[in-house]
Amino acid sequence: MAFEIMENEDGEIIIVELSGELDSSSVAAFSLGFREITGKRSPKKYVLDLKGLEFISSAGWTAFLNEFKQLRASGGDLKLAAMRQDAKRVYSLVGVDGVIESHETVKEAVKSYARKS
Amino acid sequence: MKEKHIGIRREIITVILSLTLAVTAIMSFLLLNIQKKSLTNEVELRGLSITRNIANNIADFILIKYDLEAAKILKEAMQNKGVRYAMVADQNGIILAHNDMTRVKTVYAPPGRRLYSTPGNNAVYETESGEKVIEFTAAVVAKRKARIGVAYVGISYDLIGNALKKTYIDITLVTFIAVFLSVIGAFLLSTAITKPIYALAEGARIAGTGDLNHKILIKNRNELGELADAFNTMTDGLKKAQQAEIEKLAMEKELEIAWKIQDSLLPKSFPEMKKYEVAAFYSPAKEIGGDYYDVIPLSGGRFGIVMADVSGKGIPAALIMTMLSGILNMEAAANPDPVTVLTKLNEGLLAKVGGGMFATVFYAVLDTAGNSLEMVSAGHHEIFVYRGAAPRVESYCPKGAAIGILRGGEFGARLEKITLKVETGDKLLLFTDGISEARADGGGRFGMERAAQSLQKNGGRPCRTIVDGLVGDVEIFTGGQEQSDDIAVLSIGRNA
Repeated sequence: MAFEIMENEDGEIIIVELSGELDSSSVAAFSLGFREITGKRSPKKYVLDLKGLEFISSAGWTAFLNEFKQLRASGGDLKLAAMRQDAKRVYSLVGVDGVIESHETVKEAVKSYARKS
Repeated sequence: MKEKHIGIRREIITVILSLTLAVTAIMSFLLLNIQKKSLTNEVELRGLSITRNIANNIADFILIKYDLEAAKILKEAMQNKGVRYAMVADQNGIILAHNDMTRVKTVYAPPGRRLYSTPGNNAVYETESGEKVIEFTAAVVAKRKARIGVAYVGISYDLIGNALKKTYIDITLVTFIAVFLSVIGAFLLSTAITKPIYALAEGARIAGTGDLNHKILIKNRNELGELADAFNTMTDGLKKAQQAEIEKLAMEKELEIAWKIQDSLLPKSFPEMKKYEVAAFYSPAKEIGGDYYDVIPLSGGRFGIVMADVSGKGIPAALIMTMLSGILNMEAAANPDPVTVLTKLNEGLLAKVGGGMFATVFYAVLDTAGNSLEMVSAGHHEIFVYRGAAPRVESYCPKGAAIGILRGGEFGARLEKITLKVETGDKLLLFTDGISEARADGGGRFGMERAAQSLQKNGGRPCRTIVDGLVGDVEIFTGGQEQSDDIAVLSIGRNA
């Protein structure tokens, strides 16, 4: 399945929906698409909705880490949501769980922003 | 040497000039014909009027023999322009009155050789002196209708010739002006055509020297303007193609460098391990992924076993791999505990590279004397162990975050160490995600399950067969599709 990226807004939080497979061949499409979305706004809060993402390779995780770091540096934030079982395993195996927050659903991720602020 | 061309300018001028001359010639011919007709007509009307005037007024004077009065009428007629002679002759041709009195009583004779008749049916003669004369006649009738004779008036035809001469001069003048204007017009037209052509030729020459930034500026919105636009589009296209070629060469060069770095890091041969055997396989992807494996001899019959995968591609990944290999070799020699080795590796790499990279590393220390294996993993996926006695495949995945993500204590706290006993016939199989994530043509990944099945199938055979068998299974699964990531496989087995 081809990789796709879509954006939605929930108040001040931008939900970026990913679908398909995120590997070395589609990681450039993700980075470009995501930068285009973030480039339109001043630093904001983002949730990556991974419900439709069937596969994430190490290149995909690196891209998430890089985007997270970029957003944090400019005062924004990024959270992951609705990760599939396989992805969840790698998420904790590789240690991304120690860096980027993850939530079971997009709703919970959005709520977690509200709790903090 | 440049070949001499017949210029477009010359061709245009020649064509336009020829056309102008042809049109002028046709117009002149028509104009002269009309002029000639109208002049002949005029002369004929005048001649006829003079002759009739004589015929009407002279009859009575001839009848009553008033010769002087008759001569006066003829002399008056002679006052008209071009009149050469005027006379009256009787029916027998005897001249009754003549402007030249000496000719009276002589016999009428035509003024010269008869040439032709005019449209008004008047005869044209050529006199002895070579002059053309038109002769007009009119019957001289007295009162009571008594016919006395015929009045003859000769008018020089050269009058027409002289009037036409003036027209010739006018036509010549007009022709000169037309030629002059057409030359100027042709010059301007040819300049309008050749200027953009010269600009195009110059542009092509400049492009030929390799300068593709040159733009041809032609404001004309005609076909030449279109040609210039097409030319500019072509140079833009060539520039892009050239740029792409340069980038491709740079990319190839980068990949070549990355490959050289990678190749220099991977072991060409393995240390002697007595009752243990080792086999490995490595196949870089087109973009060189940054996989690394090694068997590092340590003290006391111990060996450090490494399988690592740096995220990212090309030279950056290869350089990080170089650092990783350097630090790992150093720390492995200095620290017997694999947990310490990976903790130091994480600190060392974060200190050198900072964030922005991440590498999964499986590291184990094999004690060939005690036949034990202590393993740790920094975010690397499962490794497989084939138990020869059972026979069965076991999967191990010690907990731990990838190198470069977490700092200090947080990294160390997550590291889990698993210790195994290695029996005779046991085989270790390590690989990178180039195997597990190999993609089939119709979708789907090779995955861990298939890798375990491959080991189950070949576990009882030498390590070389295990490695080649796994690689072969992946190839069959992907259907020969181009691999998107490096593939590294390492197998170590206890033979005795």
